[in-house]
Amino acid sequence: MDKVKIGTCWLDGCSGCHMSLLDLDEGIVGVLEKADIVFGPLVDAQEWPEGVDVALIEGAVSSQDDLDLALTARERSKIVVALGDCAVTGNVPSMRNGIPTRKLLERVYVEGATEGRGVPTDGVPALLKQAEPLHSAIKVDVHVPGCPPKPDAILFVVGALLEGRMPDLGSKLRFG
Amino acid sequence: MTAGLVTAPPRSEDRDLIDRIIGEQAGHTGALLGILAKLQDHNRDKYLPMETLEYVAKRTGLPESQVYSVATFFALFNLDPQGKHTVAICRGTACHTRGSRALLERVKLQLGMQETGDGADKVALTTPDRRFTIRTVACFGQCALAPVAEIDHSIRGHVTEQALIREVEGLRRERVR
Amino acid sequence: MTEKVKVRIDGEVIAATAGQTILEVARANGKYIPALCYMEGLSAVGACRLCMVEVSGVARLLPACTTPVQEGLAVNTSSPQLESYRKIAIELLLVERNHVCAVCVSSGHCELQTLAQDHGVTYVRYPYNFPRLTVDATHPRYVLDHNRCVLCSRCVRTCAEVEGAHVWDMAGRGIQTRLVSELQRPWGESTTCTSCGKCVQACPTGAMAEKGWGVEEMTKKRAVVSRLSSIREGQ
Ligand code: SF4
Ligand code: SF4
Ligand code: SF4
Ligand code: FES
Ligand code: FES
Repeated sequence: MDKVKIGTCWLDGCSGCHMSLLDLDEGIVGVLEKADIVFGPLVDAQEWPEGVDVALIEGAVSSQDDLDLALTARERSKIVVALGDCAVTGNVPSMRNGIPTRKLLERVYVEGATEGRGVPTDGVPALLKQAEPLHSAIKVDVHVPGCPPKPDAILFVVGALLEGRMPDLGSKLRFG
Repeated sequence: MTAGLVTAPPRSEDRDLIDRIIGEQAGHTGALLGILAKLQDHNRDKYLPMETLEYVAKRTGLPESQVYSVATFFALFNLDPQGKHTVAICRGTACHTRGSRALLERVKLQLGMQETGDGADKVALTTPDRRFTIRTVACFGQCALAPVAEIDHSIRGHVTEQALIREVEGLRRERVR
Repeated sequence: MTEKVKVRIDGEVIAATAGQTILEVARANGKYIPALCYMEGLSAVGACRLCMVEVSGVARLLPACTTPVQEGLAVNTSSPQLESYRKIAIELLLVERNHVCAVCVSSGHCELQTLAQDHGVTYVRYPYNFPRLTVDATHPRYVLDHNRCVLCSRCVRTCAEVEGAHVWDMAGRGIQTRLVSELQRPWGESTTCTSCGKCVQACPTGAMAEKGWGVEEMTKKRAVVSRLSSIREGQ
């Protein structure tokens, strides 16, 4: 039987959800018996591959790069999971949303800087007006809130998806 | 300035007026509404200064927060001095689809009003010389005439930018008496 | 005079006292109806619309916290339609202000968060409002964070009805509504606040908290406020 292909990525998040993913301990063995991780921060692949079955996406959509990656992942994956509060609600990254981006950049890179003052323009993706939850940019099939989601919630969701079922978090549902 | 006008802070003659109005309204249901309406009416700049609200609370024995709640709930009450002329632009759905945002922006520009910053749709701005107040209204109930504006209490329908500018310009040229 | 009446809640016949509300009768008999603005010991205002129930013979939904029981009343506390309305009400509360549970003192002990989790709100279908709001930290012992306020008015009623100070009220209307102390004076400069802290204990969310607690650390003693209120009523 062909193994299920999992892709993961983080957009505007702190990588905490990926840490929680690694925290599955022996649970991850069971997952890897049935699935291959074909894309993600722990994998060498440079580009989101075609034909991914399950995409686990951490982080809010905050920059042009986030948006591009989210769109590509959506296009090339069967099921998209919004992993963690940033992807589900915008969470901490969205706390900047009341401030116009120009003011925000100036506050951080000009007023807040002690040296090398100036808003960087080269090699950094343009900030979007607001940091938004993933489902405001692409269709999301499963939401797993939590900051980060508990390993057992992730295992439960991934386990169900590997068996071809849509998970219902029930009492494992937890924000924050 | 004529006697009986309430200005901030309440001077003794203002306090007498407030006391008299409170006395008249005492016992009426919704007395507070009537008191505030009368006081605003007597105010030269058609508003309720904080000092007045404070004094009303003290005299009626109502909690200050409750007085403030009533004064901010009803669109009728102003907490800031109002201009001599009022231009109210409808920002209801019907008027919005017929371009009332452009009318609002245009008249703000004409009177040199600063952008409110947060792009808020709800506006009540007064020019520094207190000659004009621009405000938004949720709906005048005259949607068939959209876009609707009200200039000094007279309702105008099918308002165009040109007509609005002309009218406001007319009021602006008017000599200060 | 306490007139006894019989009502049906989810098919079960229950003895109640006329004048009790549907919510009170349901709670006294271990039946669950979600509620947020209701708090035992305070007047009911019907502000949050979470406690809506179906009453047979009445076409529209009624709030359980303000509807008194009558002889023969038959109530349905859950149905797919009610469940979907409750979810919508919870989602709208979440989009109105900035609820960032990950950095909230009340996370894990918050009534709004619990409601969302209990009703299977895994995400919010409406666009977030992301308003810019202030935090009033002028009081020496307490903070008010408007970002987390659901405008339930439990603090308003607690302060007015239990403490008798009436420091708080609601200013403005619609989406602009804000909780205010006195004439919008900072809480710390309030002349009527006795610093009793009851409003903080009554607040269902992280909007009011004692100073000095970190994320997830603020737990509230709501029962104390309800008990004080019943003592007051007994006097
Ligand atoms: S008050 Fe705090 S814990 Fe409750 S929903 Fe809002 S952010 Fe989350
Ligand atoms: S601390 Fe007590 S007196 Fe002060 S606002 Fe809260 S309930 Fe009212
Ligand atoms: S501060 Fe708390 S108790 Fe008061 S209205 Fe807001 S959420 Fe309700
Ligand atoms: S929307 Fe402007 S009058 Fe109704
Ligand atoms: S609990 Fe009944 S409306 Fe809020």
